[in-house]
Amino acid sequence: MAIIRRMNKEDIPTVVDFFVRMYRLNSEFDPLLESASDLEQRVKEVVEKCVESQDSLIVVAEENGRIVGAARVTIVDRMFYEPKKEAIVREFYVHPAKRREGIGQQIIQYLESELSKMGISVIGAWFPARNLIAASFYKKMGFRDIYYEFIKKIE
Amino acid sequence: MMDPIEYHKKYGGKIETMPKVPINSYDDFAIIYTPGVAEASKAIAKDPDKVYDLTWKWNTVAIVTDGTRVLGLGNIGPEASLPVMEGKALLFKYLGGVDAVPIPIRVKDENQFIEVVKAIEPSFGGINLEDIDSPKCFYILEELQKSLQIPVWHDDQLGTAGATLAGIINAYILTNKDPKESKVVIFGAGASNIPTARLLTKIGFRYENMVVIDSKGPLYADRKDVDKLMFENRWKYELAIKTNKWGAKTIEEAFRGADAIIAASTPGPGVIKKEWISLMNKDAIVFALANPTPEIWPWEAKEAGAKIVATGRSDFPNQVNNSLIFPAVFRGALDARAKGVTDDMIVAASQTLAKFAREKGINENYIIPRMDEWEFYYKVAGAVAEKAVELGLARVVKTREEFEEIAKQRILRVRKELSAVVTVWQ
Repeated sequence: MAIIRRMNKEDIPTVVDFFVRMYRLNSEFDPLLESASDLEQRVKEVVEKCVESQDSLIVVAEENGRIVGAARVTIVDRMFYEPKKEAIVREFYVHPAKRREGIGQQIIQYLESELSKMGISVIGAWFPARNLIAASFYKKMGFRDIYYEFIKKIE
Repeated sequence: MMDPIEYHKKYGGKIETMPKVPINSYDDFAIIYTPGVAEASKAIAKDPDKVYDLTWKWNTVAIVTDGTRVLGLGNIGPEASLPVMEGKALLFKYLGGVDAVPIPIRVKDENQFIEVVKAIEPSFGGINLEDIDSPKCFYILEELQKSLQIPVWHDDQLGTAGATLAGIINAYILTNKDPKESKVVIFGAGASNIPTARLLTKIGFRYENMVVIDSKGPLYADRKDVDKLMFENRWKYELAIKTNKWGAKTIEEAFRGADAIIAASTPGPGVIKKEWISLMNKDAIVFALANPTPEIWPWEAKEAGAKIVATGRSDFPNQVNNSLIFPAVFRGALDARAKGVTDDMIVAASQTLAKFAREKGINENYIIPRMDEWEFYYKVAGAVAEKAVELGLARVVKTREEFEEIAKQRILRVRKELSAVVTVWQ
């Protein structure tokens, strides 16, 4: 059974590796999701900044001393809606060998309880529309689709 | 050898249909066709299972392909696949006494393929899928096995895997190796090796002790393309996360300390290097199954330390060929009027095939029967039918001995019938 907790400084290299893998996978779904040439550097900066940030949160799943999953949420304003704040899952990754063991679900549950303590009552998730496995995971976790982002390259 | 084009042209293809009822007068047509035939139709309408008693269904298999991966020729389309399917139909009849009908189909994707096969189910006692591109073939087979009430088989997957399993069983007995602790290299992650890995676990091998190698090297859970595999080839993905407990990342690491390698990859020679074989354990077992040329020549493998070498070729010892499996599996499945064909039935077939060779006396040049030892076909058929009964998949319940005898008589009958054209009986 994995333990879910907030990320420490020591976890940073693994978390960066996981998120980089996620973005590499995203790039398989659409040409407009091609990953940045300096992807690793960018992810590293974001993850490091998150340690003392107030408006974002990284949690990790740890099993036998190894990080086996990680997720980052950022907290954004919903200026025209109630409730006014929302947490959005930006990155989410479980190690391939540890999938289908309920670790993803544990991470979501932990995020929900941490966010509640912070007074945040809405959680969303961003992922590529063609990632059907992610879509079915979030549905199972009780999420529903609310916005569409359509995209077009200007020729 | 006669020019193959001339040959096919001379006969206008290789098979045809033939009536099996006597016609003694024109009055007989009143039973063969209308009005008498209506009684048979009414009986089936009342009790659909009667179709097995009153029509050819009990002995007939459809050979279905979309022509997307024909032999080593690639995607050459349904028409171009027809000569191959006719040849296969002939083998079905010749070796298993099974009537097989070639049905190459023009479909746009795997789901349409599945719909077409579902639609033709009523006419057949079994479906043999053939020459379909991987990984599409895994999906099609899984879906059809779930939804049809007759056995669905993909020979490139299961036939080859079943024959491999039989060879491996005897190779391990000969070399006195224990499957449970044994490291196995699975070289190539295509249609046949993916089910081979699964079948190996049914006879005591462990996924964690296998290393699967594809065109990019060994599979392991951390490999960079594993997430992509989850979407594009979940069968390979499964192997990536279940196998390779050592996390071997190079081919050399994979071969080091392995007892056996099962290669079904690209034609050699030179695809598997002698140096790799020499990294393996004493009495190494090498299955180099690519056709028309094995990944490594048998003598090269032996020079590098292999004790037993099997290939896909009839001109070398130990030919591992799907023709050792599919005619017998279908003979048995049809005789039991089975609702499906499972891994357990394949294992029963492989074990019986291996036992047949052992009873004759195995040695490093004879671990698996040859196609011309026809008696194993009905023995394997009996074992498959018995397993179908045991699993509750049989519509006809009999003992193994009874099924063996039925299979033997049916195969003998066909051999007699075919004596008009066949002059080479083993």
